[in-house]
Amino acid sequence: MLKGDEIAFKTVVDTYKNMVYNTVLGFVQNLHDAEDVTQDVFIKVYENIGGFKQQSKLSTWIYRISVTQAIDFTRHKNRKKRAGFLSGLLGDDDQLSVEPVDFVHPGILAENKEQAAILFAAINKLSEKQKTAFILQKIQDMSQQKIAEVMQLNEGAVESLLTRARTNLKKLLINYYSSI
Amino acid sequence: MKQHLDIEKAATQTLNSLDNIQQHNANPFLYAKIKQRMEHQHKLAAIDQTRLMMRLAAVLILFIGINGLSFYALKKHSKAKQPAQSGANAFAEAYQLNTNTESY
Repeated sequence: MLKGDEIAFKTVVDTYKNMVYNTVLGFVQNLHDAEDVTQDVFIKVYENIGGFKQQSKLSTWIYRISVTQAIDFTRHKNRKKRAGFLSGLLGDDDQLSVEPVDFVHPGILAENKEQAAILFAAINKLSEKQKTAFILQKIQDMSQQKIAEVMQLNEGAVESLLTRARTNLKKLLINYYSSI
Repeated sequence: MKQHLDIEKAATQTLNSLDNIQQHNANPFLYAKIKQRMEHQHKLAAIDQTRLMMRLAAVLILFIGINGLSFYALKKHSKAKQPAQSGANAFAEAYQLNTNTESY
């Protein structure tokens, strides 16, 4: 692939497409957007393969690009939303919205769908780093060591991020259930 | 108290709702879509490059045109401003006095 081999690129796409798609889906929480961002990720992979130093695994490098692209997309979308709904500025950011959440992850068990939708809304209230660590652990079932490699942090920092993510989510969920 | 416990339980259950999540399959035609998009981007880049070249060519033609016009105007202006013939020359010409010093 480093030599611009198309067959190699196709192999990479076929090997990692589900991994990239599911990671991105956890961030963007929309099937159509997730597919677009997945395409962006592979185009980035193709364009930047020359910069891949082979110090880490190809999968780790692709995960890193996926996370960056997904976060950039979410930031861009949120910026557009904020510009569109100035009234949102008056809202309380610490409160989990009680409006019905519309994202239902297709890979979730039927009996958990409603709760998972509430959880995804809460995940969006986390900081980017906490959100990344939590999604990689919960959706990609990644070990703390692998998360540390993807996020280029040490394992202790990842553990701390995961603990804070869980604590914050629990607080948000308790607030949510208290308000309904 | 019971209500608080229920809320706590609901929050914990929600927090664990992503356990055993199944991986969703990406579009089987993803590669074809990526290829199509890359080709489209390539075409757009080529169009952009052509546009840029055309703009540069237009600027260059304009630059050469302005230079040519300036040269022409300057030449015309300097011709018009050439000093009048000296009095002696005019006199010699009027009375057909040959000022040529060459001997035949």
